[in-house]
Amino acid sequence: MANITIDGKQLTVKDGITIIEAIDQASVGLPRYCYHPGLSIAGNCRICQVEVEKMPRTVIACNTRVAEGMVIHTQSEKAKDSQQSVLEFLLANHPLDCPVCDQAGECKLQDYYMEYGLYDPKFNDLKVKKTKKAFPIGPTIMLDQERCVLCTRCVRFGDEITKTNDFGVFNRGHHSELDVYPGKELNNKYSGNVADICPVGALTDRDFRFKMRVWYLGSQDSVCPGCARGCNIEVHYEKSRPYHLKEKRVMRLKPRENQDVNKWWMCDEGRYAYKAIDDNRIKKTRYPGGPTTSAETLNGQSEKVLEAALEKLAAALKGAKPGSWGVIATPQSTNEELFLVRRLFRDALKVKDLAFWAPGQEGYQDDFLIRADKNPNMAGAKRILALDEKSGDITSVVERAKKGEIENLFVFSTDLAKVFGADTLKAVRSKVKTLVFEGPNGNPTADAADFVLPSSSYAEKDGTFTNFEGRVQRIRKAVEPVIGSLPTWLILSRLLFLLGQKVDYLRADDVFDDLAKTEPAFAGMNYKTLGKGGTVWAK
Amino acid sequence: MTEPVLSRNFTVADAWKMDVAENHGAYETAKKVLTTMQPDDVTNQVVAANLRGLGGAGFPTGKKWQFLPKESQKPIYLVINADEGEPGTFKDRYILERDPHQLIEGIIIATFAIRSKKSYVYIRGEYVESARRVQAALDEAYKKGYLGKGVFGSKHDLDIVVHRGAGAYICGEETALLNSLEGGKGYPRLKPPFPAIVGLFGCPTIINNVETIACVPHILKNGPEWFAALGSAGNGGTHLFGVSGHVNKPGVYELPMGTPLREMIEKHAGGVRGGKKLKAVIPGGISAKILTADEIDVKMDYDSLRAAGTMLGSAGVMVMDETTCMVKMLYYATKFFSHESCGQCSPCREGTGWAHKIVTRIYHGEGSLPDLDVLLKIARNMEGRTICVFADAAAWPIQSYIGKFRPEFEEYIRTKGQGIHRDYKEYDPRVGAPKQIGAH
Amino acid sequence: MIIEASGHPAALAKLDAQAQAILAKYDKKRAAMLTLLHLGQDTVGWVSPDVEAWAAKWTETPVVHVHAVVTFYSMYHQKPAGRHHVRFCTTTSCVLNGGEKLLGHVKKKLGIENGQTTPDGKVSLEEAECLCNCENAPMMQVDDAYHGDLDESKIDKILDGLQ
Repeated sequence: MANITIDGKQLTVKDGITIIEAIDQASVGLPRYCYHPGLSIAGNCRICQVEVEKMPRTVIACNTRVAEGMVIHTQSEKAKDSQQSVLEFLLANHPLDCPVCDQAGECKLQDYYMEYGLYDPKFNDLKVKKTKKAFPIGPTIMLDQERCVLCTRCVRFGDEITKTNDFGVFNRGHHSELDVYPGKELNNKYSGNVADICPVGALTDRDFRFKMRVWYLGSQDSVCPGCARGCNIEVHYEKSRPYHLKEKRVMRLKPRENQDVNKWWMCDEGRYAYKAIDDNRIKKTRYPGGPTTSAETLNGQSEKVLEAALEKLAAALKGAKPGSWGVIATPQSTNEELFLVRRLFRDALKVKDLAFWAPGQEGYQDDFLIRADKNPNMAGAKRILALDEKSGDITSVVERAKKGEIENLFVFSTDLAKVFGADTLKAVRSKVKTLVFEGPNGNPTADAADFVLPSSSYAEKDGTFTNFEGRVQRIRKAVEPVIGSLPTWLILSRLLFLLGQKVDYLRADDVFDDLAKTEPAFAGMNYKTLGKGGTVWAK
Repeated sequence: MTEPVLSRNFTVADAWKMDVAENHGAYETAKKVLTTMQPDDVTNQVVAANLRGLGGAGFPTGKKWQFLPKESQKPIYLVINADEGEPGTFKDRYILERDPHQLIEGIIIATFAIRSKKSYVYIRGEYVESARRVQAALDEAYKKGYLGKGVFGSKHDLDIVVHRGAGAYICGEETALLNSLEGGKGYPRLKPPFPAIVGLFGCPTIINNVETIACVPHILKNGPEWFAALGSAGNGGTHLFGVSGHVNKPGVYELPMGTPLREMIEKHAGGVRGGKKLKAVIPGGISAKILTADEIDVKMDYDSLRAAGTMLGSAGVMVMDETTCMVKMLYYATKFFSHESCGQCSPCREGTGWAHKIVTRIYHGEGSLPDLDVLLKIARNMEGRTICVFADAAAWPIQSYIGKFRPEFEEYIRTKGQGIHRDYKEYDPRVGAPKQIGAH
Repeated sequence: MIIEASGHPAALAKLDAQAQAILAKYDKKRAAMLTLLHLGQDTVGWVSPDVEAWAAKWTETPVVHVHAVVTFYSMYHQKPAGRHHVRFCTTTSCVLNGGEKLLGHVKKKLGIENGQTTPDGKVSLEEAECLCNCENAPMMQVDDAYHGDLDESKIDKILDGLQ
């Protein structure tokens, strides 16, 4: 351990760490471009200069190790002078693109200028022109060489993280240009991350291009539902321009740091899947005998329609012959929701045909982040429903339904046509008396159902997923449920209530607390202890 | 000075061939050292001789060798820096082309001293003839058993490889040279770690200039006291000084360390050409701060020039007479640095380019007086904040030319380029067409 | 020799023995990079994408990093140069000795600017930084040879003598 002082504050840190790591631990600010904790040290931007007593010149914090008794000043005259001079050098050739640059509002040249700069600029000459300006270098990323500060974060990302060697810095001196190999594209499964790590507007996301100014965005922590890894993310939604892009509320996803799950990264497929939150949402509740006109007029109206549908459904459930209902649950549901599925269908209604595992849906897996299992909560489903791939295989339920051995079928968000084919869906539909579909996005199964209960996407509710390593992680509500929809846990607790069961859940926290009481895997957990990083459950 | 040491074979015909070189004593000392001495004794002699690195930095050579780890699991490398590129310097080319066996003998003794079995000679790409001759000399040495397994039949093995650069001044910087030798761009490395600990391929490495290593056989032959006494206090030996510019006899001059600059120019190089008056002298390659005509009574060694506020550097003396326009010389100096900056770190990449743009504007008659202070600010902001000393080297000409010739710069700006010493007024190849100066 | 792009793969394929000999000198494959690029350029005339791929293969280096090396150093031509390449020095001592005017003379004589090649493909011109032949300033390098103490007539003789 080493005892050091940073800006007058004394701290004890591990021996051998760099000054910038110590500064970050102490939550003191220091400008930096090339330094990124997930990448090797480049030491080329030269802006992270600090004054260290007894050293003649300022030093870069990212490549200087702490020593016992070191006294560091990040904002002394000397340090500030060094930082400002580097800032001025970088801004000398930087194009005045702020009005048209997506990075504005989260740009490290802007931010550092306001925080550490505020000097009188002296550059009075023509700026260097570079070859590629506003040039798409692949399906996901746009390159602007003139904005680039040549920090080489993207080069190191391609060499060290994805090992796809996408980028290089060509030429020499102030004609240096960042680029991909001439004629090649940036085309790997993690390409979106380079727009995250680029501190300026040189590499920007094509999907997000010109969509919204970032100061109109709100952010909420959540977890990506794209596969069993559960990469930690931030959901960025518009919060001041509701009619800017009509009904699109979520603008983009960004990875959130979690050293135990996804480090600092997320895959492209997960990143761009945010569109499912707003696209193709089911907004109209449907039930036999219910109104067929649009239920999205006033918020109150659609609630009334959903309430009526639930009442009708509850009645159908109550009056049904024992064993006449089959349930296709889904590992897309949260732990809370699966807990209520168990309470409602297995415990209360004694349903025997209860399954959740859809065959043939495994996809690509790599040795980095992407898992073959494209569900966020397979582990939770298996544990809470006490089933595995064989005993929980929905094929048996679907077969029985096709044969007419199941009278009524409750489907949670799975599209039977996608898993088994349109013919199977037709066969099931023809044999089953009542088909209930509950889910956020439309699909052929929803179209064929008698009861359609629109439910919230993962971005519109609180809850937890359990990833493939048994880590229970929180998702949090970022935006309100789309008009007409409710979180699945709320729909299920309404049904439980209507069936005369004891229900006193006001929020998802309450459901989780109940789950933690009954299921040993979750013992001792609550939303507060799960925090931002999640907890691994007991084996 | 009595006998030439380093340059004694420069005018001997075909001295780059083995038979001629051996007739003049090549390899005798190396044979003796390898069969009768211990490695550390050799190093001690080099330390006692006050041999300083003759590439530009002047770091005590023996001390550098002593930085190597005592025990090393990894192989130790000796890399010869023959990437001569400092404007005003040409001395190493003479050794490479005219007496390469002197260098090879030095490598044999040095690798013996530092316990290295492999040496790379990094020769700048444009020195094609030098590379050919060194390779030919190596081939001859291998044939005679002076290289390869068991040098001179001793237990010392040694392989030497000639490696050609491809045109980049920055590869003369030690760690940039290593990166270039490893097959990459000439980007200098962050220090620490220093090459003696982590160098070529991550192994302990000593990088020495051609001339420095060429001194080693002489030190071992005649003893360190003799070598030290040839020079001045703390700066042992003779040195190959390159004198060029406005002198009557430009060329390589082997003189003792500590020879006064005035003597070098007036006596050895024949004085300023055409009987003109001296205006300024760059004492050590383009990076060295310039001296005015009344500052040339300084001794030419590392310590004296440092005390005089400049440096010996690569000993490339460039003489400027009264017809020289300092604005133009700064234009060409900043052009050099902006072309040769590797571009890795922000202050140098942007600063050298920015400085050249300003000086270009001034040179073409579109400058203003505040530009001079901006140039000095750029120079001050580049100094000490970069990965290597290239930025410092780029800053020094700016600071010293403006610092010592400010009235000339101000006059030039005020007269929009008429200047008092503009020595041509016709075709300006920089611009491409005859430029109407002052015709606003 | 300048070989047309379509002929590069065949020409490079003939260099296996030489490439192996070069690799054998170095402790790590990648260190052979600069030497291999020189060999490739000397064989086909410039560093084309084929040469880059060839060097990438032998040094086991991603080709983007080979390209970064090629664009960094001034001796590697990224497009075909002339049969003869002239590097005219434009740094301090050569300027002090009247190099500017002589460069103008060269440009006028050849009819080209910096970085260009004469229409007949004979000569290309490069304004170079210090070639370290200052004692013979002003000077230029034509192909491998240094020519110093230049004046207009000497330059004319040298350039006129090129085939």
